[in-house]
Amino acid sequence: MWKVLLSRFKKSVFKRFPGRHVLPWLLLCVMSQASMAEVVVIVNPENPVARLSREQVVDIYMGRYSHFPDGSNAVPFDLSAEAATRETYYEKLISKSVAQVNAFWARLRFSGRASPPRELHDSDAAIMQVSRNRSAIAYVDSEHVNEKAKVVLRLP
Amino acid sequence: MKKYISIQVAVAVTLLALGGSIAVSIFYYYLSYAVQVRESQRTLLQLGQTVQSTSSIAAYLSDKELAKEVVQGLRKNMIVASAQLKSTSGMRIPVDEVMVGDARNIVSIKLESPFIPGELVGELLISVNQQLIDERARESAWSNAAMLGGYTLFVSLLVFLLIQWRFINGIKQVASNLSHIVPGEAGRLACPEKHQEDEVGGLVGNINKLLGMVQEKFDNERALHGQIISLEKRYRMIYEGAGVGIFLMDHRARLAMGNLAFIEIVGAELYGKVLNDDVNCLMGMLSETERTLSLIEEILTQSKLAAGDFLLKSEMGESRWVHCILTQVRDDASEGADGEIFIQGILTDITERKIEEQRMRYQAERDPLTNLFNRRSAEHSLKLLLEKSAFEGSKLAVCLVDLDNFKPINDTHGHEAGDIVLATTAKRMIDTLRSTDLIARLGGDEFLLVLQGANVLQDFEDILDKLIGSLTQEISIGNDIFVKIGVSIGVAMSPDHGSAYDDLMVKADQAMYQVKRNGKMGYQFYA
Repeated sequence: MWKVLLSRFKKSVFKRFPGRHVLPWLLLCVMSQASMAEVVVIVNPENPVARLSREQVVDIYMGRYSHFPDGSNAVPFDLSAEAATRETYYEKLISKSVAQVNAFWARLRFSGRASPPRELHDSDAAIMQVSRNRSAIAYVDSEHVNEKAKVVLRLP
Repeated sequence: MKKYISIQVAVAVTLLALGGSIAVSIFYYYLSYAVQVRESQRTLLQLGQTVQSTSSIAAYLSDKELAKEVVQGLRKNMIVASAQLKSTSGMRIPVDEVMVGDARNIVSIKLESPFIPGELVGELLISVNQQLIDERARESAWSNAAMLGGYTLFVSLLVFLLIQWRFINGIKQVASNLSHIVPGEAGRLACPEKHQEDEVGGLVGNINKLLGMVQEKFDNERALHGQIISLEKRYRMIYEGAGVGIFLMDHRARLAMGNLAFIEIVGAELYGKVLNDDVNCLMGMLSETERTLSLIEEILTQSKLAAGDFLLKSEMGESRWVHCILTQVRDDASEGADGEIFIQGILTDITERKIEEQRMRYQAERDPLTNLFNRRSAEHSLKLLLEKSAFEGSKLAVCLVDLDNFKPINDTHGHEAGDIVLATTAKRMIDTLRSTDLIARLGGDEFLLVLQGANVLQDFEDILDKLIGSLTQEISIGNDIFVKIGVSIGVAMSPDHGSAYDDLMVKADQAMYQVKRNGKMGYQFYA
């Protein structure tokens, strides 16, 4: 009787947590990391801010402050949900997934104190926005960065 | 009011258990209070943790709306008295509320930045609803107390019923059986079936043992009582039925009791008089005071046994003689060092015998014709008188008297006439002489006179003259015939002529013959 129950229990546990599938997942993660280059945070080249710390970038992106450290306005821009860089960016910046970040914003939807950054279609759009808007702050894959934008933080 | 063991025990159990319950309840109140405090602190911590991420965000962003939402949400919980969310930037929600209560009742949760680990962005404070904790602790304690109390009453009831069922009913049954048992008879207690082996059974066994002993004792007593009764009956037969009077006196000769024969001898009147009086009963019954006293003295001081013949005091005028035997007895059973002394007496009526005895003695001593002493008793009496006069130093005159001319009267007028003469002469002697003088007929016409009480010869001579004068008077012998006699008297004086009987008799005889020789009629002293 007891043996029967114990074997049933073991079976059900192994069905729910299939340990043998863990290894491929880990491999996938490592490969994607390797394929990604570093993500860089960019601002208008004329922006007096030369460098921003990770915390300062987080505060601006997560709606805590809407100013650069020198007091000028700061308007953060996000990449579209489809862009792979967005996932990488939040992962590197605050160790959170995009879904978690979305959940954060969803929670604040009705308080009105802060709102999520506006979304841009791709890296080109982000660089264009930054080059035009003196207050803008965005992020792109380091491969896409050019002279139209100034890198203030590198997230390797 | 009757006191029931079962109720007493049940009440005692109830009181003790209630006391215990109260103590336990008080202890439990404090315990549950501490538990409640700990519980509530954990609850607060859990609550805080539930809203921690939202609180962190609110503090991080200084988002007042979100902070309000968090605080209001917390305050909906009954256990939360108040809540406050503070951010490092200076935001405080609610703005004007100050946290009350001591540190123990306030849970503080540090709020970290949701994005940068380790960066402190604010603090969430939640205070416990103390009233609720008190209430819950009290409720818990009360329900516990109620449960204990209920349990106590239940157990007490159970104890009561068990005692009643297991013990009291058995005892009652035994007691009811016992009330029907008569000590000393064969009946024994039956032990209730279910108590054979327990204390009730033991009690029944002991009671039965006791009953057995009592019965044995009763039987012995009964047998002994029967013996005593039959013995007493026999004693009573001896005592009551005895032909002799049996009586008992104490050491002061007070009558204690006497049997029927005793009463008959003494007479009911005299018996009643001495029985209820505080008097010496012998003194009351017997007529000779001196002898009675000496008899009592003898029995009390000298001997175990004393006896004597006594004349009974009688009020009927009829004198009765009794033979009285006294025996000293000691009642060893009664109190006192030597035991109480009693005098037991046996009284025999000897009146008939006494009378017969007197008659016999009289016949033996007297001459039947003249009723004077005969020769034998005269000799005895004279000897006694001689001893007495020798002792007193007094004089006695021993006179032998012989009648003159008696034989012719006898021959002429017959024996009957002679007898008349002799009797008349004797009577004249008695009449003439004093009662202290001895007068006897020695035989035939010879008489003996012993005169005493005079010391001078002249006195004796006077008496003798007077006697001769009297005796020589005419004697009627019937049919108008008168005869005359003469007397010759020989006198010997004691102690003048001797003091021995034989000597005096011979000398008096010689003196009398001297008178006869000198022509009769007269007296002559021995010379």
